[in-house]
Amino acid sequence: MNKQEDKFFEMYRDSFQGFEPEVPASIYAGVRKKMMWSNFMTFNLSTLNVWYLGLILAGGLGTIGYVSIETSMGQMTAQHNVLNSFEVPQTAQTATFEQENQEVISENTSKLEVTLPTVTSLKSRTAQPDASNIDGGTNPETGNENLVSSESDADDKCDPKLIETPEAPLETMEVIKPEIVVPFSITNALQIDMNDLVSQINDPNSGEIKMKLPVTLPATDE
Amino acid sequence: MADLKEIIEGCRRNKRQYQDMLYSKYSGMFYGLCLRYTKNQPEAEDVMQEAWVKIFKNISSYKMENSFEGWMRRIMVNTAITNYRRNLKHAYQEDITDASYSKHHVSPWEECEFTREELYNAINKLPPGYKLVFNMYVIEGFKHKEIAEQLEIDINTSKSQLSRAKKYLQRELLEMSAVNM
Repeated sequence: MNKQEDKFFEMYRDSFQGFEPEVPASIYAGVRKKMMWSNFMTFNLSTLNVWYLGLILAGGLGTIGYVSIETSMGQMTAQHNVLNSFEVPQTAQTATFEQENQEVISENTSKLEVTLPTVTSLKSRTAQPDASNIDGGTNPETGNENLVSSESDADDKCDPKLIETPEAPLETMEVIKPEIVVPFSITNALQIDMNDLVSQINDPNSGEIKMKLPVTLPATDE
Repeated sequence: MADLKEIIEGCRRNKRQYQDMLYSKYSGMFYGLCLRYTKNQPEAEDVMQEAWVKIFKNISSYKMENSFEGWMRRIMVNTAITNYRRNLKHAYQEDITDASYSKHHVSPWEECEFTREELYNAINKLPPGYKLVFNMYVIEGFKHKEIAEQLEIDINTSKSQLSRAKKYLQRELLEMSAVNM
């Protein structure tokens, strides 16, 4: 480096030595803003930062979620309780229902003489034991031999002719109209018009709706 | 006012009052540096902001045995170099060939007196690469080897760029003196 070059560089160096221009205030404002953001994004125990904020937010959201779940569970329980309140104990309800509808049942109940092929014949024999029948004797009117012997199995060897025998009394049994029990929840699910059902409900306060289907029974000849 | 050691300790604890003190103590000097390394004032402000944030964030890594001013100056210069590299892709690189100024007769410039502003304006007219090498070598006092390492260029490139920068400045100063006469 020659002398002239040295002087040239020295002139520049000297002129800029201690050169301190006035600094715009906006620079430090920008620095502070960047520092604040940097501090906020960095974890620090002593200052509020994004980590703490995230923790608080997560806690808050968790609490809200927990409370909402609890509330919905409570509502479901309340609904369940309300539904349960409709359910009357089965025995009591049945008794009440039957008592209240005894007349209806009896009206719709008809005596039906049914000759049950096997059971009737056996019962009739038990009720009116006849030695001739049991022992396979001869029918006094027809003179035919009874086909059922004492050794034979009554269930397997039932003869329809026995039903026609005058000795065999006619069994009577009660035929009740069939009932369909529609659970309350199903009516809700199917959105059945309650007004239609109410007319058929025997016990509106009951959890179960009992409907009587119109069953026409054939008239019996006595 | 607290001494430098106390200020540094305060800044390490991220205390704002000490950061304010440090900034007010050195901001003027470093703003001048930023102005020399950049094309214009807004760019200088950006470099200054970025460098000060780096200083505050990395002050814990400063070792007390070294010069604190030198440590901060290096951060400033490095930030300016980063900014130069960032703008390099978009900047138009004006290549000054020897032929462009060799035909000019160079008068003895040492007889003229120039104000700081004139010198600054002359530097500011230099192409960015020349300006960077000139500032680093002449004002900051880096060696060619250090400049070459920092700018990732060859040492000879650094030397030639300095030489061209000097000739360019001499021509500019002569033109200025001719206008003033």
